[in-house]
Amino acid sequence: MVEYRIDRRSGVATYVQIVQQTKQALRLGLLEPGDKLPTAREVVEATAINPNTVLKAYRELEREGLVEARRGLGTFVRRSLGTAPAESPLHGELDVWAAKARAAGLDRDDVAALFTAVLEKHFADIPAQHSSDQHSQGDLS
Amino acid sequence: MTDTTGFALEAAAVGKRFGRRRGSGGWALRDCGFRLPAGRVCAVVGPNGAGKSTLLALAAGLLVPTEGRVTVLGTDPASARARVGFVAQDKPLYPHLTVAETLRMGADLNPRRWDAPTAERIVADGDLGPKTRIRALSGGQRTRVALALALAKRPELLLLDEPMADLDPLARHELMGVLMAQAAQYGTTIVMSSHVVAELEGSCDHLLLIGGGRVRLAGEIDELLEAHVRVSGLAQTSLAPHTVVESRTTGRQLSALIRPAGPLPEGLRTSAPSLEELVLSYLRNPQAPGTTPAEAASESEKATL
Amino acid sequence: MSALRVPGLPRTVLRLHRPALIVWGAFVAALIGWLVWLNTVTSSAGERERAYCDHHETCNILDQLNYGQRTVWVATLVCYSSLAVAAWAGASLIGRELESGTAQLAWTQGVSPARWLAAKLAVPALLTTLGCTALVLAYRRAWSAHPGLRDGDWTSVTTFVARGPATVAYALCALALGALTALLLRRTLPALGVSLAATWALHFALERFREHLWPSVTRVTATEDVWPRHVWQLESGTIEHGHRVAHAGGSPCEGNPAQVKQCADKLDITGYYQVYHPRSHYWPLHLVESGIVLAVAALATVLAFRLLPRRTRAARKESLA
Repeated sequence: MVEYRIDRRSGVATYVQIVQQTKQALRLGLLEPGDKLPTAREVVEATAINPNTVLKAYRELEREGLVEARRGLGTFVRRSLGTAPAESPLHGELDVWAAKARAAGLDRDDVAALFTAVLEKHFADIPAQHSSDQHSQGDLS
Repeated sequence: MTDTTGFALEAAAVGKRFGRRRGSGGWALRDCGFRLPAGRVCAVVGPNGAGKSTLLALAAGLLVPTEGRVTVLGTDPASARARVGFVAQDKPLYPHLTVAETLRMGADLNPRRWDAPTAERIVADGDLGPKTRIRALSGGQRTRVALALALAKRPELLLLDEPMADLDPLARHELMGVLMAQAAQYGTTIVMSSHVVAELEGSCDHLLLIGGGRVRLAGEIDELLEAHVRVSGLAQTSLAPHTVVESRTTGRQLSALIRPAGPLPEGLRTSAPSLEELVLSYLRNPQAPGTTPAEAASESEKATL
Repeated sequence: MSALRVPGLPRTVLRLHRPALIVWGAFVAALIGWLVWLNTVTSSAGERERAYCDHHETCNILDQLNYGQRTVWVATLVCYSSLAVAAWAGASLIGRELESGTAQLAWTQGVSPARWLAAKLAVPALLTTLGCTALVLAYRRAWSAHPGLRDGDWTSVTTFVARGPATVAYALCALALGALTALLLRRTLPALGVSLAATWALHFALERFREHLWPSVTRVTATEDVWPRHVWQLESGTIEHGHRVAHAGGSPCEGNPAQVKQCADKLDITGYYQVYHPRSHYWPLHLVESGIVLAVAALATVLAFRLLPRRTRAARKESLA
């Protein structure tokens, strides 16, 4: 089961955040094909956001083929996202590296900056699938 | 689920005047027109005294407009009374009744439409003992009981006048969750007035901004935000063909909020405004021309050409 | 559906005003209890006293006085119970609901203002009618039980009302006046005061003009005569020079028969007259008074409904014009 955390100040549209977090859950293996997504009612009762937003997010996920809506039953996961689940070797290597970074005295911001630089270097040709909003990367006031 | 393709609430040139009671015949509302589709969650925003309470009372059938017409769920407010829920700003309840008696009163007054499990669940979620007298409850607990009374009626339209006014943040979040769950499950149209814009941003998809008794903005929040652009640039830049809502010049820099009516001049940095910025700009500039959905749609079409 | 199941809206009115219902019930029960006490304990003591007085030169009449006086007190309480009803109707029934906004709660819970007011008036009307009827019946029974001990006649101000349906009429009128003032003023305490004053004024006005509510009987005699028994004495005097001249004592002439005749000849007195209501006029007078009070009640009720927030249906007709 997935729980959504909506950050209203992030500048990212609410429905996009739900889409992202659902995909994140799929990647991490928290959601597997056949699992039922929480109903719109359950989501809004916990997060107090507009139900149309949830429906919009679920429709987007359905459009991307990740989930399917079955009338009267709910929305179910159709397929996984195929990127590394929690126990892959890449995850283990990253774990080791993070421990080393911490031992070397780096803090969270340093690690994030380092990672972003490496990401830009290797994944420059593949655009990010989320956040088309220009100023979310910019002003962190 | 209600499946109405119509409008839950419409106003056409509505005006309300209070005669001798408000100064020298002041108009609380003048020439207000808007249409709210069914199934929306609408925020009614505006400064104190702008006319929000008057508008909600007109929709609830408690007042009669001096001019114009209010249409609720396709008919006049009096006929729609049984299908509309209303919670006034002071959440009136009978102080000497217990919580259980208050809910039973609701069942007695709405014999055909009462949903007792919903009412009891809302009250139980707040840990309210059924034998507690209303006068012994705190503000948040009273709001919960008042909401239970309104929601258990299974209304198609719910009108709330500053429901979150005297609630602590936790109660606010919980009750907002209750309202959103109601909207999700039954498709209830919810109209809420408030003067705290920030907390409405996530829950509401429709906005009605009232200032000085007139409707300044009315429409889907997404459309309104798309129709407005925050710009900043050199002070001499002309903003001529576009509608300027607010503009400020500090030193050599000009910053403004505009509704573009075409391509923007060179050298301007643009960004999208937040809902709060939008509302504040309109409130700070009462003379700026307002907009309604039809206008907003046609203007944003022009801007993208 | 059992016969005792009360439909929703009246049940709500009962639930809301339960304290008042209890007080009213206690009031009625207490007065009836007091009447029973007076007509068993006090009256038997009074009768014993009277029997003693018949056979002795000096005696105590305390119990007889008590009986008479307290029976009048009960009559006063019964007659003026409408004042309490008026105060309650203005303040608690309608006024407080308008002032605190709970009336709006009812109106937005699916009850139209007209139905709300109708229920708010009908339920108390029924209960006051029942209570006042019980009081009147009990009082009538008590009043006619010991005629030798009682104080005053059918003409006494409060006894007059307490012995018939005028009591009920006044109580109903008090309800209507209370509702009307509350709708006019929309504040609890002012409504209480004004409805109390209005009801008292109604009592006062009708008491003043009671004797004119039915044509009186005039009796002319050649010589001065005593009043018939059990009449309401209105006016008496002499007929001089063909005109009536009222005299408080009946005749200006006093003394032995010769002096009286001399005086009468000097003043040219040709006869004596008396104006009064005989006992048989009790019911006509009473019913006319009740009718007037009920007419006021009806008028106040109609005005009260007119004052309700005008139904929004009217607005639609205006805008279509």
